[in-house]
Amino acid sequence: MPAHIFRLLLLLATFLILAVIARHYVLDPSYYQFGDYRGDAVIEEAAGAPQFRGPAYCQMCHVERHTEWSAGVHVNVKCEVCHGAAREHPADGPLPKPDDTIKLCTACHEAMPGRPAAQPQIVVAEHPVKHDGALPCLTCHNPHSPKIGGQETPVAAEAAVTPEAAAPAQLSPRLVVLTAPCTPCHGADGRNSAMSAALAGSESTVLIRQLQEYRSGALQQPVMNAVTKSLSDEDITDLAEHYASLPGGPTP
Amino acid sequence: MTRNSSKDKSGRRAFLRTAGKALAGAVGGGALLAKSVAQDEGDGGDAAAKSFPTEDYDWTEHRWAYGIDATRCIGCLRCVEACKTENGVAGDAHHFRTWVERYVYLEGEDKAQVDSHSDPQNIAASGSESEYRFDNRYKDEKVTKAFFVPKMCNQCQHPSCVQVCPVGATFRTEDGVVLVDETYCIGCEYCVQACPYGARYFNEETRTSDKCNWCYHRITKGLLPACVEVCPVGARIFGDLNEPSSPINEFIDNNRIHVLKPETGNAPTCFYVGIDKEVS
Repeated sequence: MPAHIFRLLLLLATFLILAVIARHYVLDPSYYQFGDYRGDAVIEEAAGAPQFRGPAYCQMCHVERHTEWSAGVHVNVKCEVCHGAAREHPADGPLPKPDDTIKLCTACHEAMPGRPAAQPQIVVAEHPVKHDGALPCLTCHNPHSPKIGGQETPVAAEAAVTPEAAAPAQLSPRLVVLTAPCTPCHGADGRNSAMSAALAGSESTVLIRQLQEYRSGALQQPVMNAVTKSLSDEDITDLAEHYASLPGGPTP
Repeated sequence: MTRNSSKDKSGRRAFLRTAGKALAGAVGGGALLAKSVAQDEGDGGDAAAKSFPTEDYDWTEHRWAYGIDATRCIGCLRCVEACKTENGVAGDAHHFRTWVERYVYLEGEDKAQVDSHSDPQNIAASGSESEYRFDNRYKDEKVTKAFFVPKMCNQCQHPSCVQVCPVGATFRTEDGVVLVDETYCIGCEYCVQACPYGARYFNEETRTSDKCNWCYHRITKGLLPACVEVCPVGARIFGDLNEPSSPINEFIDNNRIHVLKPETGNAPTCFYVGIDKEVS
């Protein structure tokens, strides 16, 4: 047989064998599992961790806020719309309270051509209270239940309480003992946020959970782990309710 | 002459012999190929017997669809922001998996003015490229008609992007979502050009094509896509067509629904209500 034909056929055969071997090594085993794509790609796509956790996740700690919010007109505006994605909160720190509420609220409520008539809208320049950028919406409107005059309550009352009105003078003897380790860092009014978290005005359910987690070691912070070690469940509840009852906000 | 002719004969015999052997070799090789394919399919069969793609989720039991009620959309753009957070999309105004268009018909004009969050004037009103807001630019104009239209991947039943992908890096799942395989995508961007809805973009970080996947990592865990989760007015509806009482079935049954660009034959599974003839 002519040598050139033999060489051609040899070349073809070699190519065929190499192709079969290469296919075995190069092709992902899950390719063609369901079609002309890698089946494992579907598993990889499905494996991601959700960032938005939904109101039921928030409710696990923020019971009071959840109750207030779910009864109000903002029930369709879920927690994470304003506070951002919960992700691994509380393990990776607190979620922000929106700082520029005028900007946030008007994202939905500024009168704008194209918005459906059913959407409550304000012409910012004609709003009854001229905020001029200084008075945030929260001065009169409770964001968790924003209607004024209806069954929803304005938030102003809480902010109006002066620190003098809740001076830590009338503490029961039991609370004096219990709060003694807390005061050096958190302040007697629970507002010192310079070197630690501000406690005053927090929800008691949140504080209880955090104290329990410091006690069990689920939350790691050397000082907090040490001072919570000897607390009973009753101590934790009393402490949480005490600090929750103090007026919140920055130190005057 | 005789010598020549006998030489010719022997040459022909030799050729036929060799050709016969080569044919046998090819058949053998083919059999090998077929065997390896069969093995692959065998592996697939085992995996399909279990629940796929996760232990708690079987994709053969679901058929997802999406509804958009443009009559409810207020253009707050919380969906755009949430999508970026949930899916790690670049925080600038020009890369996005979902967006909202504003259509405004001014008095005396028969063509709409269209803009979205990536318009320079809207970026200026937002304060930065990572915040999203429509500038109230038409507040002093005479507007005859205006509305917002949320947009995203239509998860077509006959997707052009899958058709053109040269490496099998994009495909439609059993439960009706078109996904991108980041490890196989070579970033050629044929799919970006093929999509009639402009729903795909090029991810500069991964150097691959990227698009909405209805938050596949959420829906396979029983959650809603992030945009649906945060929509404050119920303009975005999501559900399982296989479940008679799902919100999407209620939406489809109680409305006159449209799809975008039906003439392409892409057969989208995003259904629209309240859009105008100009929206495409």
